[in-house]
Amino acid sequence: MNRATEQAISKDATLEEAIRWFRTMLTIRRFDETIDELFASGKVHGTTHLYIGEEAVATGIIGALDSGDVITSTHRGHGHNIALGGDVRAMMAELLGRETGYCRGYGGSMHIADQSLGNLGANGIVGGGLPIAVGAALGFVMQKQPKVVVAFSGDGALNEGAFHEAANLAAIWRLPVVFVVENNLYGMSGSVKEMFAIGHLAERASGYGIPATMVDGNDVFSVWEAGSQAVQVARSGGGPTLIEAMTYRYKGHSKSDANRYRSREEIRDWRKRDPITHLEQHLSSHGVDHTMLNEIRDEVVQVIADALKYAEESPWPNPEILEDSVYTREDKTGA
Amino acid sequence: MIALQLPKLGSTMDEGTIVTWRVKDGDEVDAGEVLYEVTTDKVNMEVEADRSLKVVQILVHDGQTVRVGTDVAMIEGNQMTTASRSDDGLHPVERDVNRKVGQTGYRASPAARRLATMLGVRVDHIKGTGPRGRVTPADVQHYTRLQHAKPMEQRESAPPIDENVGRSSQALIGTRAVIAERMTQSAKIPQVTLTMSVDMSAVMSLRASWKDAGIDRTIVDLIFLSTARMLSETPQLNGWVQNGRFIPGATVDLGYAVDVPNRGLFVVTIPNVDRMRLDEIAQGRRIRVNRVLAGSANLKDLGSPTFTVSNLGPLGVETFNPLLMPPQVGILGLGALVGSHDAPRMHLCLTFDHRAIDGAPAAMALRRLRQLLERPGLLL
Amino acid sequence: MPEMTYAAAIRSAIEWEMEHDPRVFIMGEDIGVYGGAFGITLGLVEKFGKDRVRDTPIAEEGIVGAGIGSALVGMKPIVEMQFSDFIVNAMDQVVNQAAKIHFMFGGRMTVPLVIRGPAGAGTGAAAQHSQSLEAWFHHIPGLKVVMPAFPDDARGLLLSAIRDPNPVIFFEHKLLYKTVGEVPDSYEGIPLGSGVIRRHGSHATIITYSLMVHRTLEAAERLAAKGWDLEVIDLRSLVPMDIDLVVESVKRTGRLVVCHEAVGRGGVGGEIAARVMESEAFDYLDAPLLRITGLNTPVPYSPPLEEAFMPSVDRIAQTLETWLECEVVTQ
Repeated sequence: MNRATEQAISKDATLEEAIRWFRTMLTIRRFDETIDELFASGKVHGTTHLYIGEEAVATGIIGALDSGDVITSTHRGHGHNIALGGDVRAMMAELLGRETGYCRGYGGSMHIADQSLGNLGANGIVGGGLPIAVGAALGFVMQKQPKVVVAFSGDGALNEGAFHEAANLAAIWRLPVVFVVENNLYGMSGSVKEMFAIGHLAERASGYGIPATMVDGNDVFSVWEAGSQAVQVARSGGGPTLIEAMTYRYKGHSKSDANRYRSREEIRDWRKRDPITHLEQHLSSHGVDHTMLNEIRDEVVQVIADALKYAEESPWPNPEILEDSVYTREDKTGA
Repeated sequence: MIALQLPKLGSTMDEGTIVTWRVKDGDEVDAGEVLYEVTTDKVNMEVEADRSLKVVQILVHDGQTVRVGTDVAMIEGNQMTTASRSDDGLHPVERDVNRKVGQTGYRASPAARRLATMLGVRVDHIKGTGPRGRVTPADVQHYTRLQHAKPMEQRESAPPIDENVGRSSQALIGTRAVIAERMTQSAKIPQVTLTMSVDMSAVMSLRASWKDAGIDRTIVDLIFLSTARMLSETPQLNGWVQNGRFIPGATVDLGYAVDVPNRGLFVVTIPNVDRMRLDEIAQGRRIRVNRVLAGSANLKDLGSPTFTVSNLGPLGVETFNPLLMPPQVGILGLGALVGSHDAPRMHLCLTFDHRAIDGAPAAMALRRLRQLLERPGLLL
Repeated sequence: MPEMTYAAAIRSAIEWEMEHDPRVFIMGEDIGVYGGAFGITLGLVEKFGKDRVRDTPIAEEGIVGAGIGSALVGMKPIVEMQFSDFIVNAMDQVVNQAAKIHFMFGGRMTVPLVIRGPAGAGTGAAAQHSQSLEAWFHHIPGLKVVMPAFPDDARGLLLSAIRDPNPVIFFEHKLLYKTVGEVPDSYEGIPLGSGVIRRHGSHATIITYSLMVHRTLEAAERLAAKGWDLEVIDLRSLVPMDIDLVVESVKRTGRLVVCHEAVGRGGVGGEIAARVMESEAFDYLDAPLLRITGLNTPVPYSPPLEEAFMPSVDRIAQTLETWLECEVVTQ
């Protein structure tokens, strides 16, 4: 890094951090694009939920966390794990159902999580991770550890009972939780306009006595700033915050989505506000050389290609130990 | 006219014994009808015709043992092919006849079927007296007893003689087969026999005093009492090894091996011996042994002992290596009384499953048993 | 050995673990100064403080989820359901989260969580406060299910449940809370998955657990006076289940009876029967199976209706006697 990268380009964020975020966001995108191709070519079974278009939210929020902080993730969770620094080889291997995957092939797309980096789990159940996030925060408080928990969710989760119970517990116990709502305007096909009677989802928070803020989820700097502030409040004992990050998913909800509920125009308009392009322009305007950015892009493509190769060459899991994996390893009594 | 050959019904089958023909010369049978029943090294099987055919002449008769491929009958039939010996119009039905789907409409509990197979009789030949006409284990016992009362030739299955190969052999069927199976299983277990000589003078004087008082007790009863005491102090010898696990017996249920003439070895079970007085042991053992000898034992009499005692003393055997009765962990062999009248001695032969217990604790147990017999006062 | 009630035995297990393991805490509705709806946690908040004896809002999904989350970061939570029926409100967290986290994350995480609460009818609490839902949880791989019948087991099994690295559902029976029994001074814990033969017998094996152990034993005593000799097995835990004990017993008696308070349809009794049929004990069966269970209805309110719903000593004894007379031939 040259001296130029040390300059602050947005409040406290340095150019060095911004370049790191650029690499993270590209990695998330390239990873999910590769998954999309694998599904399209029939090389992967099951379903998956792609984070393409929403990269700035995971990157900005996780950029605001310290080592030791934890998150709970969602069904659309690849981006969160990559932003934490997750190993894309183990992620790809999991998607391909291999023994070397994060979950040894037991979990698949919706359960990829690196606990060593603080990911307490992606979750196939909408809202399912929210009470768990609150519990983790409770655990940290009881252990007197100054750690913060980020509970990611989509907009749809705010209509789940779990959200309400979790938000209330976090509020009454003033727990260090940051609820990050990735509002991509649709819960599967259900548009936010039809499924909520309030203008902004952030309004929900006031009913629990939780301060809330709305940010442009496609601007990594705004996300990072809002995240940093909420994390600081949480860590200093100020209790939970809710951040509503406005964003958009380019791809369908899952692999079975024919995009009947939204228009081509809407998708096109949002693509014009692409978070990666936005960041790239920002970096260029701050003097970062295009050659450097292209090098990063090439590196990311290679890293993901290597991950795919690694995954494809990895062994399948052994079904013989399946029944021994239900309870902890030292305990075979339950089967 | 073509020959029908004994098919190979299993990879290890070399010969088979025709148990019974279900057809006779001149019969015309349809596809699926059973032609004959054959017993092989493992199981009883029925051989069916897979198309219509006529039996011209049966060549190998009931009870005869022949090699695979031997012509067993001459038949006439349509499109019969002899291209493959194992596919010559025959479908072997590999099953225990006592598990046969209720073609005849009889009811029999699983326990009755198991006992019938063990005793080598057909459950569908037995009249059920249980609920709704069900054949019960007691019915099987009753039937078996009647069978054994009949002259040899009228019995359900006479010992088959292999005339074909010109030597006399006897297929292991019924009880014999069960014993063969169990003993083969036993031989695979790493087992060790320890032998100890016991001074029997104290026991003999006790016996003399029982005799004087007209009380009906035997030395074996006292050995039972002592063995139960020893086992309750040595729980690792009292129980079973199953699926690689030792399962200790909740009580001491002693098996007693009884030779039933013409029928083979039976083990009767006297349960809860560790909670019994000497007179109860004597009575319990006598009743059960008599029932077995009379062929009227019920399934519970046969039971699942936690330890077995085998007594070859009356036959003059002084020491021997009793084989374990799987899944039990131990068996005690009793030898004949030897030595002078003043100093009678007996050999105790304790075999143990070395997977479950080591030599030293087994030896300690045997020593304890000797001590109890040499000083029966300790039992009080 | 000291005598204590089933309720006190449960409290003593919680207290012991909280004293000896700072990771252990308990949360639930009205468990603080109130002492819990059934008084199980009386006195604990005074001893351990409000942090570790944590009153919660009425939010079962939230508090079970919070239990899971705290377990994931190193705590050992006990979550009390005020009535075990309320666990239905938390089913996502129990079934989709707690039970599966260890498995679906490839063994990278464990959830040492105990969810305990009162189950069962007999108190006039009617349909939503009286159920025995163990079959639901017994069906879910990843959960353990424990149902003690005596004070010593209540303590010993709860100690093991709290120490277990897997999620455990611990059902206490309301009618047993006041049962007094000897409880050893030991805090060693009783391993989950070991059943006990409560009564030895030769005519039939009755498999049961929780309250029905007591009623079955009483029925067996009554029938003993009529010459019937019945074996009674208390499973103590349903997952893991001591199926070896059941199989060995059925091999001795040749007859199988299952008795539970939960409705019969889809109940644990059916699973026990199936496992016996699949085992080597099949060849020892000499009679059809008998199930004595709760009726296939919700739990009713009115005393005669409620009495009819759950197996009583009279019903158990009469059903057994009719069955024995019909199915057992005695010479």
